[in-house]
Amino acid sequence: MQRAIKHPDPRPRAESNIVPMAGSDPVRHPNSVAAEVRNLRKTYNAGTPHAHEALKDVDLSIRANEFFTLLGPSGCGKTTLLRILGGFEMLTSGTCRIFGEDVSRLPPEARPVNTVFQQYALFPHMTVRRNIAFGLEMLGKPRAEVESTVERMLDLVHMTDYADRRPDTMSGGQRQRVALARALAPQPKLLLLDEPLSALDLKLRQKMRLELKSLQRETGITFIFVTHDQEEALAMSDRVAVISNGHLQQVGTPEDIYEQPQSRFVADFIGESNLIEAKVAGVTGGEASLDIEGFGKVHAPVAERVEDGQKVWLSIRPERLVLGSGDGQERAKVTDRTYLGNAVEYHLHVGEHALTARSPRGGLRGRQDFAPGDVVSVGFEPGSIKVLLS
Amino acid sequence: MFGKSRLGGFLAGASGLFLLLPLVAVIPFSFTAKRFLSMPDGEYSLRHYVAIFDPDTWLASIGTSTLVALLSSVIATALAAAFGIGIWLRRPASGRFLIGLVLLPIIVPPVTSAVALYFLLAQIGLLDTVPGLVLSHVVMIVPFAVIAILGALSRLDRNLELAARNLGASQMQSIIMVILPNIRFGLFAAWFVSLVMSWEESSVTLFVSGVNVITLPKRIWDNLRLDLDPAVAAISVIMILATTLVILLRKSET
Repeated sequence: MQRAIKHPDPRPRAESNIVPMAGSDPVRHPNSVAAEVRNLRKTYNAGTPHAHEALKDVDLSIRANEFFTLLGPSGCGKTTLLRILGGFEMLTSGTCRIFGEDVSRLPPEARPVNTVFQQYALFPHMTVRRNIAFGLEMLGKPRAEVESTVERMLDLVHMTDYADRRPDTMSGGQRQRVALARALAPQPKLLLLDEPLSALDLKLRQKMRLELKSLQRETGITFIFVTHDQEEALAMSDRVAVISNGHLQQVGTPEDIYEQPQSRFVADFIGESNLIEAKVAGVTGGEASLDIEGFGKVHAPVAERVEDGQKVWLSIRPERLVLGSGDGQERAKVTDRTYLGNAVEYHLHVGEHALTARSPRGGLRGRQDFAPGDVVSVGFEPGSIKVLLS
Repeated sequence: MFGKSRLGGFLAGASGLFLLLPLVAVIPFSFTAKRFLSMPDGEYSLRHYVAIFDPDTWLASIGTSTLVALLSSVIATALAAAFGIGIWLRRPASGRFLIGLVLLPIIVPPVTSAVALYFLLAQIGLLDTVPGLVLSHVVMIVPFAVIAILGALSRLDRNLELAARNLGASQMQSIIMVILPNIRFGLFAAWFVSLVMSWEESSVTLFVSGVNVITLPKRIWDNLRLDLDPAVAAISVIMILATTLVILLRKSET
């Protein structure tokens, strides 16, 4: 470890060795790094009173063949990061590499990257066919190749019947498909998608999720997808990066992010979470005893060092709270019951704390149902409590 | 409220008539048989229409005006497009200032511009020449072309340019293949407005030309002041007809 840190180039050497070898196809190489940003900073209006730090020291590695999602609330910097990768925005400091090549100073047309824009940005004066051919023509591909690739792309996105229509005569979903075909046609090494589903209605959005995912698998191109919709991110991605306020909060698989949030922000932003303040009341082995005011003590594993008396937060998903009655432990009061169709949500008061519990088909199939005013006991499924220090 | 009532219809018709009457009044004047501008008294003639085709006077001026209008409108549109697209792409901090500067000829009284252009052309030896006149007209009409083109650009999706660049087009390719085709109506409007403005430009023209190069408005001006030649009425009738024709053609298109 010590020696690795003192190495003049702290980046693992292996990555840059694998990547751009002549004859090999880095795009489909399963272990190569597709995009990598190091110490990336972006400050708008630097040096003026309106200076705004959109990205603060972001380090990120995106693997080839990955469906990678940048997730965060609006204004968190995720789109800025995408625009820096696409070359539409210059980074303030740090480096940005695409398949090993430093692209920090390259204009957009010199990068092996294509983009699907939020409002598609199809060329309104061209037919679908000409839109898709545009990128290939810019690369100077021979006519026959352009034509055959366009046909293949039309087929891939099921738009062959619309080839000679103009974009403004088509629906949002159709435009979306054309935008995908146009961006995929030049076979980019990296495909950037800037909230491409946000302009579609719910049903279509769910259908396009599946289509996008299968397109990514079929083409083997690395997708970098930007969204503020956590459900979308969980459903489609191989890995997700959660960004807030210009900081990278957590990177991991959807399961990691959902089950093992490392901060209150992630726990709260991804899905729903009960966040409860607690005090450490003793640590034995990897497990801490935690005192929740007005409720009592609970036990949960802790990954990091905590000290007696330290203030921490507990995150518990609503579906992992178990309500019961008749066991003499009733300490929570039901304040509200909401029927959601596929589940019932209970709002509870425990001392000072407001909790939400969700029970699939509450009251049915032998499960107990509760009404506002009932006093119930609250249990936690084993392993459901996540201790957060920040 | 007025639109559907009778009173509304009457008022609209009356104001229309009020605006059109002076134009209509010129029609009988053009058919007079006399040699000066007057109402025909029983005798009608087309001699003044024939006079328009005199290659040394009226026809020469129509030719000059057409040449100057075509040249200056094309140059003005090209300059305005270059300026507008540059501002649109780069969005410089000084953008508002630059646009203000370009629009200045609209605000400055024409006489001021005329005097300034007079001295400039005298300096560079282009006074009373076609190139000098074209230069002056370009200065005067570029602001209108810029307004038309900036308007078209403001409705253009910025992502179109990014999409073109993203697909491998250079800056120049994206301008030619994506930006220009998508502001074509704005370009046409800019060109057409410039053409008309140049065609009827008189204030600056009076200062910077008039002996060797005589445009149609200048000749009409001279005639009204010196001759009261009914050919002025004849040419006015032709212009009214041409304008009406253009309006009718555009109506039938839509």
